[in-house]
Amino acid sequence: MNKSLLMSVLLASVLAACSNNAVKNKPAAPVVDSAQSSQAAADAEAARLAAEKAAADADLAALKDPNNILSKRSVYFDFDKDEVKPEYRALVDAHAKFLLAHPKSKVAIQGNADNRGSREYNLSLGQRRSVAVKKVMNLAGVQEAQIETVSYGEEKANACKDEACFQQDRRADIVYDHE
Amino acid sequence: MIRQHEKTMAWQAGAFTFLVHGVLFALLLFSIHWKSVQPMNVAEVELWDTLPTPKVSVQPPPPVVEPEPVKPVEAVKPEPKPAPPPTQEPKAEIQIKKEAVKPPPKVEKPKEPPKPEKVKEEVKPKEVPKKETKVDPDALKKLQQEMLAEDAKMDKQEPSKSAGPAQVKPAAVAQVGGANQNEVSKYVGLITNKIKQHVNKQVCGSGKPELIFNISLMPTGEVIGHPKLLKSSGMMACDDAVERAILESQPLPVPTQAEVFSQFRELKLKFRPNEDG
Amino acid sequence: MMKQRFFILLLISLFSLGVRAELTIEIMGGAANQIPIAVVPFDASPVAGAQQNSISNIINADLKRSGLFRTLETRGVANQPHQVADVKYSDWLGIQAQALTIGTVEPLPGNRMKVAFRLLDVLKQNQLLAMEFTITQSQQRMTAHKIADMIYEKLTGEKGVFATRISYVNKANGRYSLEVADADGFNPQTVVSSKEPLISPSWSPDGTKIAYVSFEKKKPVIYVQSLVSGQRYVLANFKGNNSAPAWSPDGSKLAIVLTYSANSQVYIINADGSGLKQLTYSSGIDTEPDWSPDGAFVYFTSNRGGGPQIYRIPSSGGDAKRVTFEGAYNVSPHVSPDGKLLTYIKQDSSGFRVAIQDIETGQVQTRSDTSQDESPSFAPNGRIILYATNVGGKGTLAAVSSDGRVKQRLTDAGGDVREPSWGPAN
Repeated sequence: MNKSLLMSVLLASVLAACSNNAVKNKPAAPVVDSAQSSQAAADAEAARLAAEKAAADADLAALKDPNNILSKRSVYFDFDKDEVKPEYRALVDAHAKFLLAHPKSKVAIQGNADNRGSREYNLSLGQRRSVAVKKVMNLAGVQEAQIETVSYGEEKANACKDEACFQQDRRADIVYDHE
Repeated sequence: MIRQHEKTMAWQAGAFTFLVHGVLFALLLFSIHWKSVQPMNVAEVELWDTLPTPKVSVQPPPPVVEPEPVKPVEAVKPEPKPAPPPTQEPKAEIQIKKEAVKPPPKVEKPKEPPKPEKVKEEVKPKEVPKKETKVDPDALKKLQQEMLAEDAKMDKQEPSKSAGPAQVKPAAVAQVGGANQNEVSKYVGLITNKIKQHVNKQVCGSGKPELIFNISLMPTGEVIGHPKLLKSSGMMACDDAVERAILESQPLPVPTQAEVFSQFRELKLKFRPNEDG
Repeated sequence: MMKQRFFILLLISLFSLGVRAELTIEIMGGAANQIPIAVVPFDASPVAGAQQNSISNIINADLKRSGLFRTLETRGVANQPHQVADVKYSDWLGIQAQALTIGTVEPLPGNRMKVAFRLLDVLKQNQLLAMEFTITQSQQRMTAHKIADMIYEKLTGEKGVFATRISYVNKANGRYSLEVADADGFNPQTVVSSKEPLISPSWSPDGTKIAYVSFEKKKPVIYVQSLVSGQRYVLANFKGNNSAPAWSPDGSKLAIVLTYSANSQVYIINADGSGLKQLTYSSGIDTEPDWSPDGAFVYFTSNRGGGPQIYRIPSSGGDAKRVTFEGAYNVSPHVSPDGKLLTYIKQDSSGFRVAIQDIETGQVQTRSDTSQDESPSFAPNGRIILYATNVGGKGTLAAVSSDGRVKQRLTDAGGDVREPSWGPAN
């Protein structure tokens, strides 16, 4: 009887932890019997916290897991363009989903350009690219508070000689605040 | 007393006299060849002291005045008018009428030489003297008859042809100076090239400025005093640079023959530094 | 018969009066394009080792760098004059000089000196200029530049820019520093240094302040710094980017670019940071403002039509009008001091190159022989354009005359040099 109660309480806690304000919620376990229940409560709490941590670790791991789309952070653009191409929508949407699931997480979207043309124009172009990615996330429901747009223009660009190199510099990077 | 008939004729004759004199005057005025060789003395025919081809004639007026050895002159002599008029006046008045129509085209032709195209100028006297060397009274008469024949074809308004014999006389004169003209144009070219080497158009802005300087030259080719600025480019630095170009070109190449050098004593130099030469 | 003879005689006599015309010679064009000048060393006994600083060397280098002068070797002339009375003009005619500069340097107590010079016309054999300066040791280079300016102006009719300054950003050893140097690249002074990028320096019209963009706060922020006191203040740090500062010709305002309303747009702000007002309105990128010298217009780069082109808008607001129509990518406009020319970077088949456009006729010409050009700016006399380019993988400053004839690379500042801006006339 106690075990099944414990399990249901545990499950309920896990489910609660998955919702928005789950972290802070601690549904109180009904006290069945003072001595046995306080021990059970402590155990439940420990288990619940462990489950939360495991879930959070799993999320963070996902951001770094090469097999997980969340580990991809860069959207690449054509010359003098700021449209997010279809092949990068899935990537942006995945990060949007993560942000929706983790309302405390924040990202900075850093826009960059290759080093051809003027620095100021490239600064603006980088900004446009960053904003373009943000807008895709806005469409998915992510709020302004979780996104910052920054531009480095061509300041981080490489001294390139060929198109493959230039292409690498024309990008927006999604960077999480805990990184 | 003049009879009535002759009186009418007299007025007409007088009018045409003035007309043809006017034509002659105009021709003389506009034919630059006249300027290069000075008639020294009104009454004398003997004018040339150093000319290579003495057989060629002198100016038209003296031949008429003096029955002198210059052959073409003689040929002209019997004519009441001097040679330049392409037709003889005593011949039918019709001819003179045609002559009257002619003046405009002929006047145009002589107007060409005064233009600064010295090269063209020199070409004409060169061309004509070739014809002239063969001139003798008969040939001249023939030319004049040819002229009349042409005049008969009124529709053929060819100023150059009709002006041919007209040019014969002044050209003939110039042909004597023709060799001189060769020298003149040669040194004009030498001077132009030498000064042009030194003209620095970088300081003359981007427009099309024109400058004019007067200079006086010594027979050694050196400038006497300073060049005199007659027309400024509007930019002091440009004026100075062109003046320096003139001075730097000393000694200017000038002819050695006194007769020819005399034309180079005073020179007017016109510059257009930003236009291609 | 007699009557006719009389008339003929009359005509002849008229002509014998002689209408003698002057021979006129027409000279079109000119083959020379440099003024040959000799500058005799000023010091009677030059101190070896101070050679590079010697006044005559600096004058020679300036005049030669302008491309309009051929500086002659004077060491072969036995008689080296310092006073007009000592000048033997034939010596200088002999080396084909048209102009001659002589001078003296006289030490004074208190580490000061008196510098005097004369400019002479060798052909007309007269004096064109004479001037005397009392200066400190540290002012020696600038005085030499001032003398070169005076010589340049006298002989070319244009104002010289040898005594002006330039600013640029030097990236070396992972650091960025904004520097101000003499127009010949000597005497660089660091204005500000940072580990984060510095871009877009802009001189105030009176030359006492410089505005620039710094990323030290991890985002682009505009600062204004006094070149006299070294003090600086934040001109604009609104949400988003703050960049591309450009002073108005009267120094009271700056045009800047902000992104706080989404896209880069041009705004006008007072020099003390007050009174922000939006100037351009478009759904694209509007950036790189530059004022016309009369303050009436602001030229800027905009991609409102697709690719970036140059537009201009009345500085009091209104409709923007497109100005560049050749090519698909035209950026970084700068107007010449006389308001007649516009320089910018134009992309063509060989890369990104400095171009000049006649504002009235719209005619365009590319001017540089390099292909990764950036940041063109006019010298205060409008005759030279300073810009940044890439030589062997390294950022280098270069200059080209507005007619395209004279091209130079500037002194190697050591690092990766970019973002040059020519300071105002003194």
